[in-house]
Amino acid sequence: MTQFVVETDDLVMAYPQQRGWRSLFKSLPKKVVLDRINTTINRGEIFGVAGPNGAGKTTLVKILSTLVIPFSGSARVLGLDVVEDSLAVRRRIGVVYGDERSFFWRLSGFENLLFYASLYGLSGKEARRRVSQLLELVGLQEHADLRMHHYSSGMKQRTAIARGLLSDPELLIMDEPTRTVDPLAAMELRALVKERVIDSRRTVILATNDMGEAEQLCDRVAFISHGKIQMVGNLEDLRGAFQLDEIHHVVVSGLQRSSFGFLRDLVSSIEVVALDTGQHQLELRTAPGGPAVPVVVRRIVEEGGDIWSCSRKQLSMDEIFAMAVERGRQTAAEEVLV
Amino acid sequence: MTAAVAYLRRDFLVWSSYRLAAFWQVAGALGIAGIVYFIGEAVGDRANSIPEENGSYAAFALAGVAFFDMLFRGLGTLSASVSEHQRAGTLEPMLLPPIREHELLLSFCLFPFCISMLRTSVFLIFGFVLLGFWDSANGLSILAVLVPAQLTFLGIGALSAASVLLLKQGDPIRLAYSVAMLTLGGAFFPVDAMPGWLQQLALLLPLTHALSGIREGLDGGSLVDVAPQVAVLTALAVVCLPAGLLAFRWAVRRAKQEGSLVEY
Ligand SMILES: Nc1ncnc2c1ncn2[C@@H]1O[C@H](COP(=O)(O)OP(=O)(O)O)[C@@H](O)[C@H]1O
Ligand SMILES: [Mg+2]
Repeated sequence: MTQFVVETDDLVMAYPQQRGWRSLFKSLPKKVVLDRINTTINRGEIFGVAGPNGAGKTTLVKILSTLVIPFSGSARVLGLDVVEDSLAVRRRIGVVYGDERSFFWRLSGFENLLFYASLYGLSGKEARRRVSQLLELVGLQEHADLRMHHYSSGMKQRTAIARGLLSDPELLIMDEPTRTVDPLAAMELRALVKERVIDSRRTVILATNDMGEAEQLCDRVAFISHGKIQMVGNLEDLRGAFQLDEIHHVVVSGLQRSSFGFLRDLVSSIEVVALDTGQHQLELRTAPGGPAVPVVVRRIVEEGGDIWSCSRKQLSMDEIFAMAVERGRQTAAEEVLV
Repeated sequence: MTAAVAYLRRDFLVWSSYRLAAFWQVAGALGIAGIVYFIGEAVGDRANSIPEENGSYAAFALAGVAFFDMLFRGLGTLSASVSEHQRAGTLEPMLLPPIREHELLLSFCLFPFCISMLRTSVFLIFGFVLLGFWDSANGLSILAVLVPAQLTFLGIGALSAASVLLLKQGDPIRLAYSVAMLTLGGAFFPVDAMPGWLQQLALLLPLTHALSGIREGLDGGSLVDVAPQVAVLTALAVVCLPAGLLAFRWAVRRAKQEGSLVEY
C-alpha cells in the first residue's frame, strides 16, 4: 500500500489522428499529447494541473478517472491500477466536468442527483438523505425541485459538484469547473470549493487554466505544456524556479535622479524611473533573503531622501505560467508521433 | 440491477414529463393496426397462401407487426442509445459511475423494452378484442418463443451498439439486418410465398423462427408444437448474447484507447 493517492509511471497518451474502420486493421500514426508523465499526489492535497488549452490536462484527468486508457506507462489511483481495476477506481472517485452535459434538463436537480446516487449504489432513504444534504451543501436546497433547464450555468455547476460528492469520494477530480460560468459565479464556485468541498480527508485534483484559481485553491500545482510537466511545486517553489532575485520598488522624493549612485554597491542592480509626481521609483534587485532592504532604506534617508512607499514585487501566477509555457516551447520537439 | 432500475425510473420520468407521451404511443400503434386491418379487408379471400389464423390476412399481418415491432426494438434500441449518447457527448458521464458494461446495456434497453411491450399489447388487444382473432391462443407457447427470441435480438443489438461505438457513422449491422428482416422475416407476407432459395435464406434469420413460433402459439399450438422454434432460438441466444456482450466490452475498451468516446 502506498501513501500516494495518485502515482503515475512514465504515463504516455497518444491519440490516433484518424479514426474509423481502417484503424481496426492497421495502426495509424498517433500524436503524443502526454509524454512520460511521472507524478505523485499526496493524501489530503489540493493538486492543481495547470496549462494552456490543449496542454493535455483533460487527457490526464480522464486517464485518472478511467475514461481514457493510456498508450503506455501506468497510473495508480488509491493504490489501484486505472486500467485493470477500473471499476474499483470509479467507485472511489468523484468527477466534476466543466461543461456539464450529463444532467437531464427535464428533471429537477433532486431527481438528477437521485439517479446518479443509485448508480453509486445508494438507494431509498439513504439516497434521499444524501442528496438533500448535498443540495444544501452547494446552496441549492431551495431549487431542489426545479427542473434543471431553469438553472443558471452556475447552478448547474453546483449540481455537478454535488454529484461529484455523492459517494463521499476519497479523490475528487475537477476539470475546469468554472470554465462555463460568468466571473461572479466563478468566484462563488471557488468560494464554495474552498469552504465546503475541501476537507482534510479528501484529495482534490483541479485542472485549470486560470492561474488565479490555482493560486487561490491549490497546495501544489503542476504546469503542463507540450505534453510534459514543466514544473511542479507550491507557489513559493514555482516562484523560486523563475525568480532568482528579489525585486523591490521604492518611491523616493527629494533626491536627484543622478544621485542614486551610492546604492550601486548595496544591490545587484538598480533602475530609476522618474514619475510624473516628481518622485523617483527605484527598482532594486537583490539577492534573496539578504539584508539589502533595511540598509538601502537607511542610506536613502541619511542622504536626505523621503520614502513614500517600499514594496516587494512578486511574480504573478500569470507571469510564471507564461514563463513555463515558454520553457515548454523551447524544449519541445516538433510534433511527436508514435 | 440497481443501475437498471435507476435508468428505468429516470427514463420514465423524462418520458412522462412530455404530456401525452403515452397517448401518442398508443395512438400510433392503433393507427398502424387500423391500416393493417383495412389492407386485410381489401385483400380479402385472395390471401390464399395464408393457411393459419383462419386464412385472414389481417390476423396474419397484425401478429407480424405486433411482434416485429417488439423484436425490432430489442434489436435497435441499444445502438440507438449509444449513438444518441455519443452525439450528445454524454457517453463518458454514463461510463463514469461504477457499473459494468452488461449492466449499462441492460439499463439502456429496459425502458424502451417496456414501451415496446405497451405497443405490442395495443396491437394484440386490437386484434383480440375488436376483431376477435386468436381466441385459442396459447400464452405459454408464445412466451417460450418470445424469451429466447428477444435475447437473441438483444445480443445482435449489443453487437450493433459495439459497431456504432467503434465506427460512429450509422450502424451497418442494424441496417443490413433490418432490411433482411423486413423482406425475409415473414412479418408482412408468409415466407412460403417467396421463391425456394429465398426461403432457405429466410431460415437463417431468427425473426423467421420467432414469428413462425409465435403464430403457432397464437393459433393454439402447444409447447411441443413450438419446440423446434424454441430450440433454434435458444441456440441462437446462447451464441449471440455472449458474443454481443464481449463485442461491446471490447468496443468500450478500444474507444477508451483511442479517446473516441467523445466526438473529436
Ligand atoms: N479524444 C481525442 N482525440 C484526439 N485528440 C485529442 C482528444 N482529446 C484531446 N486531444 C488532443 O490532445 C491535446 C490535449 O487535449 P486536452 O487533454 O483536452 O487538453 P486541455 O484539457 O489541457 O485543454 C490537444 O491537442 C487535443 O487536440
Ligand atoms: Mg480541458
